[in-house]
Amino acid sequence: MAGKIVGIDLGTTNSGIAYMEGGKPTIIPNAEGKRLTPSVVGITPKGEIIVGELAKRQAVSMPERTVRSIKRKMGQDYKVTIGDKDYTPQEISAMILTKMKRDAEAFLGEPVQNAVITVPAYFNDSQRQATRDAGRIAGFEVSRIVNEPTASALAYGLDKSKEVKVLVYDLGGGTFDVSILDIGAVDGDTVYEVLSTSGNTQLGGDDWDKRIIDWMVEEFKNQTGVDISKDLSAMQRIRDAAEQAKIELSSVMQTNINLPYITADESGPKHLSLDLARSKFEKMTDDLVDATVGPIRQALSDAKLEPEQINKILLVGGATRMPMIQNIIRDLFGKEGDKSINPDECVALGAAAQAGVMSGEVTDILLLDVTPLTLSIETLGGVATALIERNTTIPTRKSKTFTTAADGQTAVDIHVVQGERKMIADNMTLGRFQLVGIPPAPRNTPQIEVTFDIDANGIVNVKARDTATGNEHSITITASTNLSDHDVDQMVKDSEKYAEEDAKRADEVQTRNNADQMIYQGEKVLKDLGEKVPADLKKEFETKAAELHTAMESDNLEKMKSGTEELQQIIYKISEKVYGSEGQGSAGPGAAGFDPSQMGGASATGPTAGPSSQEDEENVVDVDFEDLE
Amino acid sequence: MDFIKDPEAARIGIKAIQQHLDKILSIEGVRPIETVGREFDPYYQHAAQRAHDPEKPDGVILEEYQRGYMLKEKVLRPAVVCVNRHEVPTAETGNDEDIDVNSDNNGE
Repeated sequence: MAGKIVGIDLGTTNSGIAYMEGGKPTIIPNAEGKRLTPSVVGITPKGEIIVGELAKRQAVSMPERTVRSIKRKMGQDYKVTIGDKDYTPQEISAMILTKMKRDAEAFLGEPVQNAVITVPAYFNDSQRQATRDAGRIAGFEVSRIVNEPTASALAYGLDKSKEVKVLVYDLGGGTFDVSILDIGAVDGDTVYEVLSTSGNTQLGGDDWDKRIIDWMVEEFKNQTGVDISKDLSAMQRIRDAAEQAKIELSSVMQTNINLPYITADESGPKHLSLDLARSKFEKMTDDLVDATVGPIRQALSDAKLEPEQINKILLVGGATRMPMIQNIIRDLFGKEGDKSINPDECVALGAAAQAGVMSGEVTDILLLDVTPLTLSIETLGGVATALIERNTTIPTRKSKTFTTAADGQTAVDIHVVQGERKMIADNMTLGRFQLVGIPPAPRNTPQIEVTFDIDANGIVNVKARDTATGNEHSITITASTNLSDHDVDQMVKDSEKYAEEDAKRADEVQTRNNADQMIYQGEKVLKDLGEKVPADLKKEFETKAAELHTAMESDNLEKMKSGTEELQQIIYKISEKVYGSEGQGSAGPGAAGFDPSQMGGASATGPTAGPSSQEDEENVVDVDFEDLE
Repeated sequence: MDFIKDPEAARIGIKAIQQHLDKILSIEGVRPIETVGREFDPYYQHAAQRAHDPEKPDGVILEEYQRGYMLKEKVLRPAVVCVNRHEVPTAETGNDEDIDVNSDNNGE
C-alpha cells in the first residue's frame, strides 16, 4: 500500500492521530505542537474554517459560529446552521479530520491517504457509516473502522501474547464504553476477540464537569443573588474553570476556583471564589460513577464471565484519571486498573497499531470484532426477527428463509432494523427494500431466503432471494441519515443541498407512527399479559396513553416524542416486572418462540407487519403488496 | 537600594530594566500582539469575554485582559481579550448541554 496509514481517534471532546514509526505507534503532534486536538470547529464570518485550539479561542466571542461535541450527533438527522449555511455532522467531523490530515502530512512530510478511524463500540451502523463518510469527505481512504476499546487493547497488547481476558473501561469526554476482550495466541499469532461490549453514549467526563458547573452557578446565586447561567461569556469561563477543577482534584484533595470579574450588576463587578473538596466532588457525582457499573455488569454477563475471571482492566479516556473511577474498579474487581498508557492517547495509538496491521508493518495480530447490536428484519405483526444476534463475531453471514403472509402476494418488503427490542418500531431502521416478481401463490408457499452479511468494518449487506425464481435484490445498509456515494461527492464539492421540508415531514410521520406503535404495543402487552400486569402500572399506562392520544390529535410533535418515550419506559417496567430476568427473551406472545422458516403468517416483511397497526396514510410501505405488479 | 525611602528611583530603575528587556526581546523577534481596536482574530487572540457596544464595529476588540506575544511569525501566547458583538443570533453546538442554544445578544 502506498504511503503511511494513520490511526485516528475521532473523539467527542478531543481527537488524536498516530502512525507507526519503526514498529511502534507514535502520536503525531498537530500544527500547534499539541498531541491532542480539541474536537471543536469554528467558521469565521469570512467563511474560514478553524479547528481545535483556534476554534476554542473564538468560542466565547462567536458561540453561534462554534460547534462542539458533534460526535454526539453522528448518524442523526441533524444540521448545524452557521451563517446561512447548513452542515451535517459528517461535514463538521470532516473538518476536524481535514485539519488532522493536513497537520500529519506536514509533520511526516508526505501525503497521507489512508486512515483507520475509531468509533465507540456502541455506535450503530448508521453512526459508523457517518464516521466513514466524514473520513471520505476529508479526503481519506478509510481503511477500517475500529471500536475504540479494541484499539485500546491493541495499544496495550501489541507485545503480549499470553491468554488473557481484558476489560476496557473507556470513559471519554462524551461516551462511556465497556468491552471485554479475549486476547490469546493461535498458531503463534496474537488474536484479539471482542467477547462483549456495552456502554452509554450519553455519559462522559463532560457530565462530571457539568455537575461542577451547576454547583458553581448555584453557589454563586446563593452568594450574590445573580443567575449567571444565561450569561454565555461567564458560562464559558465557568466551564473552563470547572474542567480545570476536576483535573486538579485528581491529584489534590481540595481546590480553589477563582474567577474575578465573572459578571457585574448595578452594585459593581462580581467575583466568584469557591473551594471544592474532592470528597464533596465525589459526593455530587457518585451517581455518575454508579452509572458506569450497569454496563460493566452487562458486559460481564454477555461474556458469561465473573469479575474475578477478568485478568486485566484497562483504563482509557482522560476521565479515568479521577481517583473515584479507580476506586470503583478496585471495588468491583479486587484489583487495580492498568493505566500505564496515557489514557488520552491510548485509542489513537491502538488505531495506529491497527493501521500497522493493515499496511503489513505488524503481522502477528488478527483482529476479531463483534457487532454491537442485534440485526433483525420485520415480520408479521411488527415483530423484529433476529438474524444476527448482538456480540456476534464479525465478519459474519447468516441466512433465514421466510414466506409470504397473503395469498397471491407478489412482493415482499424487507425492513432491516438494528436494536435489542422485540418490536420493529422500537428498533432503529437501517434500511428497507422490496423483492418483487414473486409468482402468485397461496400464502406460506413462496420461499424467500434473506441473507445478512457483515464485513470486517461492520458494514451490513442484506440480500433477499426468491428460491423458486432465483430472483434477488440486495442493499448495502445506509440508513436514511447516512449519505450515499453521490451525497458524499456532492459534499466534497460543497454543494450539498438538503430538502429541509422532506426531512421535517418524515420526522413528523415517524414520530406519529412511533407514538401509535407504542400505544398499540403497550395495549397488546397489557392484553396479552392480562392479570400479570400490576394494577398501578396498568393505570399509569392508560393515563399516559390517553395523553399521547391527545398529543397526536393536536399534532403536538414534542409531546408526541416525550409521550412515546414515557410510554416506552412504562412498557419496559411492565415487561421487567412480568418477565423479570427473562428480559428480552420472550416478547409479546404472538412473537414468542416463533420459527421464521415455517411461519404461519409471519411474512418476510411486513407486508402485513408493522403497518397493520398504523392507519396513517403517510405510511408508504403499506399492507398489501399483492397489487404491486 | 531602599525602595521605601526613594520610590521614584526604584520606579525609574525598574522601568529601565523593562526597556532593556523589551529591547532584547524585540531584537530576538518577540513582540506583543496588538489588540484593542483591532478586529478579533482567533489566530492571535483568545476571547474570554463578549460585550455589546453599538458605537463600535462588530467583532472588534474592546479590552485586553492579558498581553499576548509573537516570536517572529509564531504565536507564543495568544492575547486574552474582550470582543464586541452587536448581535449573537443563536449559539450552535453539537452538544445540547454544552452551550445554551437559546442565547440572545449578550450585552452588558
